[in-house]
Amino acid sequence: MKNFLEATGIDHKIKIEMCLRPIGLPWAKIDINGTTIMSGIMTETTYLTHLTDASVPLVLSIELKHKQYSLDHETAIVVDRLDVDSISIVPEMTHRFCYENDHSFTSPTSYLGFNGIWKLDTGDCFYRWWHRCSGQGWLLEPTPGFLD
Amino acid sequence: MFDRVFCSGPWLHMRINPTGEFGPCRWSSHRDEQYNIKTHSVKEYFQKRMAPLRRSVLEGDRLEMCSQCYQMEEHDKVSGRQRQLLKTGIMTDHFVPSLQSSTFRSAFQYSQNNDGDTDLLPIDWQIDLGNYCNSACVMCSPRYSSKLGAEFKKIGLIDDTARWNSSWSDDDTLLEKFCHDLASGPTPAYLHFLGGETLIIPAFKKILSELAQAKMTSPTVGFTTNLTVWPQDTIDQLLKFDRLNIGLSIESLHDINHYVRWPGPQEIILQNLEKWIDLADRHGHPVQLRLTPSALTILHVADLYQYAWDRNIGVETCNFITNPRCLGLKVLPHDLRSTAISRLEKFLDGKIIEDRQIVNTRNPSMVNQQVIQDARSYINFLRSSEYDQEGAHELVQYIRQLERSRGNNILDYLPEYEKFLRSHGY
Repeated sequence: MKNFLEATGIDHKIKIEMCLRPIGLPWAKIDINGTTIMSGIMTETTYLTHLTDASVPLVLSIELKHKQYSLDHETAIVVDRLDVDSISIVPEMTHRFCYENDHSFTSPTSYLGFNGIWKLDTGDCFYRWWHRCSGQGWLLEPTPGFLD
Repeated sequence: MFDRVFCSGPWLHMRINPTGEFGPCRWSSHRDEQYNIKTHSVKEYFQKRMAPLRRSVLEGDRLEMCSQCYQMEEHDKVSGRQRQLLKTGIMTDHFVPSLQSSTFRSAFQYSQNNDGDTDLLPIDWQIDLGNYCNSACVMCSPRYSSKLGAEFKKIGLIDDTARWNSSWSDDDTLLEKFCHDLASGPTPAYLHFLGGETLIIPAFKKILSELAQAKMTSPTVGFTTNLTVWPQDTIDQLLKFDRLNIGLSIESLHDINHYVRWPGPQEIILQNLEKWIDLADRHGHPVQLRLTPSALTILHVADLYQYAWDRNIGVETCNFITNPRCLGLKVLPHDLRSTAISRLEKFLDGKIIEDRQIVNTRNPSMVNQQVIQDARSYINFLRSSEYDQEGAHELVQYIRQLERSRGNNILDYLPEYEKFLRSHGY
């Protein structure tokens, strides 16, 4: 990579890596930017890797479905680790996830024990989002001049 | 490698030097003698004159004018280049993807397609108001200190001070033009003022007043003071701005500060240091100790790192000093370097050190790690930089000339330097 043209010519995808641990036999659905990368019963600790476009917002969701509270109250998905390009998002940024579930539980967590969707929507491309929420200071925008 | 040299500064930042010449960067001593606020417009300089610089930066050229930043990065010190990149969303440890996501990517692309031109204007300013100063710090120069200039003339180090003393900001017409340009361009994000002693330069108060009158109080105002004065009226003006970056120049809590930042009264400096920290705390503004570690102070900087650590305030040291050469750390012999290193290591002892580099040194939650990071960069430099024997000779000649004028003696402050200085003719 010798210059700007070469650096911007690289087709960079952001790499999402996660480690999910089932408790019981949860039914899980995992979506990243509209692609379902897993759907079904999780029987063992699962390591997932996925590449996605860096220039669009990252929307990642994990859904727990079909849990019957009266029968399997110990069923859950635990997100032990979630990294994007080796940047730790879980546990460091767990509070950035929105958890909509049938028990109205809203506290930051990576223990998904209720039927519902645990979701991260960066709203902007990942690196701008990361800049803002990791205390990197100013993120300036170019403003054309009008001195004349 | 492109990621080691690219900088976003030329798309957002420029500088005006004490005598009015424009320059492209606050971390570089490069200035354009032919481009002065008296003769050229900000727009002309930034958009056209800086185009070849932008072109070189986009081509990945390694530039002599950027050597200070390259040197800082070699020793794990956060460079100006890294700070400017971060302001546009580019992280050096994730360079390619963050460049591709940068808020300035389209601006870089425009310059790539238009031979370095840009339609932008600076939003990050370094404004050197002039050299009017009440201190004559040994590592300074007549360009930045009228008092040192007068002394240099008296002892024959320079012939004349006139060229340094003609500060652009003394000219009301130029000042008005500059304020007008600021008010009629895009709202700046950052205005950093430097003197001389910023707080006693009349133009500082005038610019603050003009901006406040124009209801332009959103830019962050940064400034550095030598802590010798407390001008309440100027401070009241400053407090009208939404956010201040307060830089407090001091070299040590040890008496060597008095020798180096001559003739600053140490008692008043320490009082004002506490007052500024208290004011910053009450108003929620970040404050940083601004150090220029040199051959004469490096033995006693650890106490300031400890002070900053204890008070949870940042430390921002300048480039590794190369001008004057004789005050650079390279002139120190092995035994003094070892002493300095062991004192810095004693400061670090028992503290948790994170590996991750902190580029945003004003992040309040990372202040302590930032202080550690800065101290470590000096250990790295002291360990790895080559010895400059010629500079050591120059040091002795230089301080003897100053001491004849000042009537002081370095060994009263640094008795541990006797062997070193005597061996070079002191």
